[in-house]
Amino acid sequence: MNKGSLGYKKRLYAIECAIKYVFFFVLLVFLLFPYIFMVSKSLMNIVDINSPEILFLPTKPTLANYAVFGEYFKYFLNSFIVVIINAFFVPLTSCLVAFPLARYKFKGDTFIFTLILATSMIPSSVIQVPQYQLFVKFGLTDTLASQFIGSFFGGSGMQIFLIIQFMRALPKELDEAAKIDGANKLTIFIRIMLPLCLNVCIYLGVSIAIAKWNDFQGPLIYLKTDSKRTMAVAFYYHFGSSGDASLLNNVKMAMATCMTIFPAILFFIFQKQMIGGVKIGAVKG
Amino acid sequence: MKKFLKVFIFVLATVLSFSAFAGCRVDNSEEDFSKLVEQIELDADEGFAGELNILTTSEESEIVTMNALIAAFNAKYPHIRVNYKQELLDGYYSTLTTTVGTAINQKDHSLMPDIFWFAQDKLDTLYSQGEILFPLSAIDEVDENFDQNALVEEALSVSKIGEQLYLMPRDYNQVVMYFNQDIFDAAGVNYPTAQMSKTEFMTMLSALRTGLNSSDEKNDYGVLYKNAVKYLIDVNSQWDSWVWPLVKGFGGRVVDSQGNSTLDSENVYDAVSFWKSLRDNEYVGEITTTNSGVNFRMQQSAIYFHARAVLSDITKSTKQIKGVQNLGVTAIPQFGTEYAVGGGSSGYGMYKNAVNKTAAWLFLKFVVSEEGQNAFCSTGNGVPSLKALLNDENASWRKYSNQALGSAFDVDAFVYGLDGETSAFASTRDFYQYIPLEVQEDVLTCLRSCFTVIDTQNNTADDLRESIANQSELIDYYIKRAKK
Amino acid sequence: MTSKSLKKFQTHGERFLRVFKNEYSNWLFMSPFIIGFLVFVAYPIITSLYYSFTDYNGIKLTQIGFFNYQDIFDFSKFGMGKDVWKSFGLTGLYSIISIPLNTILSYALALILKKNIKGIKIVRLLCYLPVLIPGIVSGQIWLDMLGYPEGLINSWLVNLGLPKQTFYAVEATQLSTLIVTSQWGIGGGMIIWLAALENIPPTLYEAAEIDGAKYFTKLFKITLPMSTPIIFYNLISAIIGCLQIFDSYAYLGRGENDATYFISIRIYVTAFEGTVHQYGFACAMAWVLFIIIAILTGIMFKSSKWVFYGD
Repeated sequence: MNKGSLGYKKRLYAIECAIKYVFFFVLLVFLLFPYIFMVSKSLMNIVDINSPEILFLPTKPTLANYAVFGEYFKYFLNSFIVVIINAFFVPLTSCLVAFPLARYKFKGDTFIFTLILATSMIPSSVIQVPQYQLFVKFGLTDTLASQFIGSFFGGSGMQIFLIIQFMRALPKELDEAAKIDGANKLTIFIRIMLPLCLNVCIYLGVSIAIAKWNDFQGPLIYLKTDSKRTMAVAFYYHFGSSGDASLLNNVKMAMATCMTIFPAILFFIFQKQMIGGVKIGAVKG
Repeated sequence: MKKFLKVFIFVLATVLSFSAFAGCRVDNSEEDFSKLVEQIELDADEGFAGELNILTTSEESEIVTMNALIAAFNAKYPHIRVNYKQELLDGYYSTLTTTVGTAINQKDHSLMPDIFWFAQDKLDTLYSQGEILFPLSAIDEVDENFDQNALVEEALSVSKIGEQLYLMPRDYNQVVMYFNQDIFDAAGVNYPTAQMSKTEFMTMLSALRTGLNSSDEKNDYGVLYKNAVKYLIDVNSQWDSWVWPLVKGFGGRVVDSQGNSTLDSENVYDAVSFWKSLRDNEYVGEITTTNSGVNFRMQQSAIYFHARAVLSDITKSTKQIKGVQNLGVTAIPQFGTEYAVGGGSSGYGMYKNAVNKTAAWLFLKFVVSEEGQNAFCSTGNGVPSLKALLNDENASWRKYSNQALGSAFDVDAFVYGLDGETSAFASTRDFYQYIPLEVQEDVLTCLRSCFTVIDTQNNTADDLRESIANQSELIDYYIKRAKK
Repeated sequence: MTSKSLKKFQTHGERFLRVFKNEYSNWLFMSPFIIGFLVFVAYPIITSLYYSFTDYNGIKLTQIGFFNYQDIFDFSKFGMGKDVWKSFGLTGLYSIISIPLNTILSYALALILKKNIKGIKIVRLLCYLPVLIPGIVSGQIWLDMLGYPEGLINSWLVNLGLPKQTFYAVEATQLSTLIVTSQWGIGGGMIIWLAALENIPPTLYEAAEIDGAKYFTKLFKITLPMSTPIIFYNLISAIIGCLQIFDSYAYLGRGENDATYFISIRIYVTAFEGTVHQYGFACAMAWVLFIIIAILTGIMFKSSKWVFYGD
């Protein structure tokens, strides 16, 4: 091989790479365009958004619109409470429920397992109305508790199923060794299982946090008082159809950006666990 | 699967056996109100001590009004502690019904406020659910200190179901034409007047549009008027106080006194096609049920059709808005063949199972007393429902306007056409009285639907006529079904 | 506990006690789910069935009978049937177009992003970003961008000499616009496909390469069959998800002339919006939806012969 052909190959490779990167760049611009638009519009002033020719970039970028976040901080706090409690308790209770089903054989285990799978098939609208009435009886309507009470009871079937699948794959020897040492189930669960499930728990917690942050229907039904609303419904009510804010598209987009940042940051911090979690769901599914 | 089927059949059987026990309809029309009235201390005076819970919408105007009323009320009854809560108008009535349901389910009636705001257009649906509204006439009959006849006829008529008063009419509301003087000045067009004909009105709109397009004036937000003013008129075109008077003004009628639909007429078509011409020229925005006023408040519309009750919303001064200086008002011109103007009342109802009935009744009485009406009118948000004040040339509701607003603010617009037998006053009550209670809202929806066709792609003259004929048939269907 | 030791206990009672002693802790662990299931699922399901035969409105219940179901299947000129089934039809139409489109697009994206070059991880993450954004937020962005007659995309179309598109403004194009914009969430599917693709043993490809297989042969003979279990799993969850689409209510409402009035929106509006809450009718519609979902998943499982479950 002479030097010339090596250089030619290198150049070819470089061109191939360049084409690939250009392709990926175009793809990303296409997929992320709405969000680029969102950020760009959030930097516009009121003259720009009313300009007769539609602008893509602001003429005089301003951060003034982001002051709106201050007004919405109380809704942010509400969302935060809901998100934190859910993100902590759903993985915990899911693990509790999954533990005996994944590690032991006993009478009725398949029945419970089927029950868990079946609950994830039930459309939420079937139980919407009676559940609402139930919450009315418990005095939970119009409280933030209505948004996190479910997390104390194992979350949804899909999450328990995921953890069962994960726990089943762990080696049997682990708890047998502990059993010989005289540990009871609770100790095995806390000392051995929970630490091993940490990553999958983080995955669950983060997905629940994002789902609850984005949830619109639940808070729409249950939270009636304005001061108790979460971000998503507050956004809906204040920027929806009436109210002075509905005409201020720049402020609306500033608010949209604020609402987007939280799930994005969460995902990027825990991206390893997130992708790992998806793999469990995908491969074991 | 078989097991599931068995369970399903079992559950079904249980449900059906329930139906055997409770198969009949409960009728609540024949109620004895005296027991309810007994719970009220009619001889309560200024020394009465207690609590009172109030709920209104969270609009600026409602809050300002209620705060003024509460301040005056507490000055008279210092020992009644008032708790005041607000809810967004969006979803307000849904919340109201839900709260009643919650209170009844939990058997804790303190969950529902004793007094709540509502407007005449929701009277029927609230009433039809039985457990919400307190029959006020029943108290009137035994309370010597109160006489509902002191109130304006028009406001009372929309607050009653049959002979029974359910809504304490706080104000007399009539739709007027608000306009932004600055926009008219910028376009170089004369201010509108109530005496305009339909043609003059249309000429004025087209002059406004051309005038604005050649003007380089800006609104207070720094936006050129020609860019900001997308639609010249801001109105909730599906509002019943707008739709019905418009149709009536063109000679259209919904039902006759036997309850047969009379909607399918050329008059209704004229009203719809008038609106279509406004829509075609982009003088008005899309036909939706959403609340209006945003465009006008943001100085993006020149004209706004609404009643007095929203004055605080319009004039609420943020740091950018000039405030009230550019606001003009005049009565609505005659668009059709006869003069009809939407009107009615909003006010406060009392919860049927209210915990603090005596305090609630004291409050309701106070709202329509001279003191209460003056306190309320001093906020600028209303025209009194008390006859004596409405006709008084020196009443406070007139003075307020003259002080704060410019000369183009014609106070008489709020009572324009109210005089004498040829009253132009139009409310849905005009045809509701011939329609069974449970389908009144459905019939109103039919009337509204005649207009929504304008925004679809099939909006030729024939399409409009066809849709009116369809809606007319639908009205007959509803009424017949309800009468069965 | 071995079977030998169990034989020591003769009576049923003793045996039960023994089993109970051994197993009660399992049930204790599962108690959150069992309580949650009984209170928040089982009880509401039965109550929902009961409500569906009544005219309950949260305040009073005056009638019991089949009238709600009669209304749903009342196809006379002014009956509710047409409206309700329009909602079911819209939901079905949305699912039928959206699910395959989403599956194919996200699969294609995963194939593209499978390549191992520098920085690919960041590209994958950024492709996933739209999935994280609240539905009601992205809806507002689209509404703004696709404005008609004035909106960014339309102004660009005009500059390119193309006709303006109506997008969300007109009944005819509302649903299709919603389907197209919903494809921005393909990152969610993509990430699952990537995991699945990684799981295919590389030996399979090596063997095929020795046989001289081309890219597309490998795709259709190895990659696709090996990912059928996940396709199946994704299809089922996509069907359940699509039939419950709700977020568009936040920015499109019911749509022009009910063009985006999906069934779960209809159920919500019937039950919770407005002054009169028709709980009974909403429950009846929800039960019809439930039965449809049950039948669909049943069919899916029965006809799942094409799913390849390994050797």
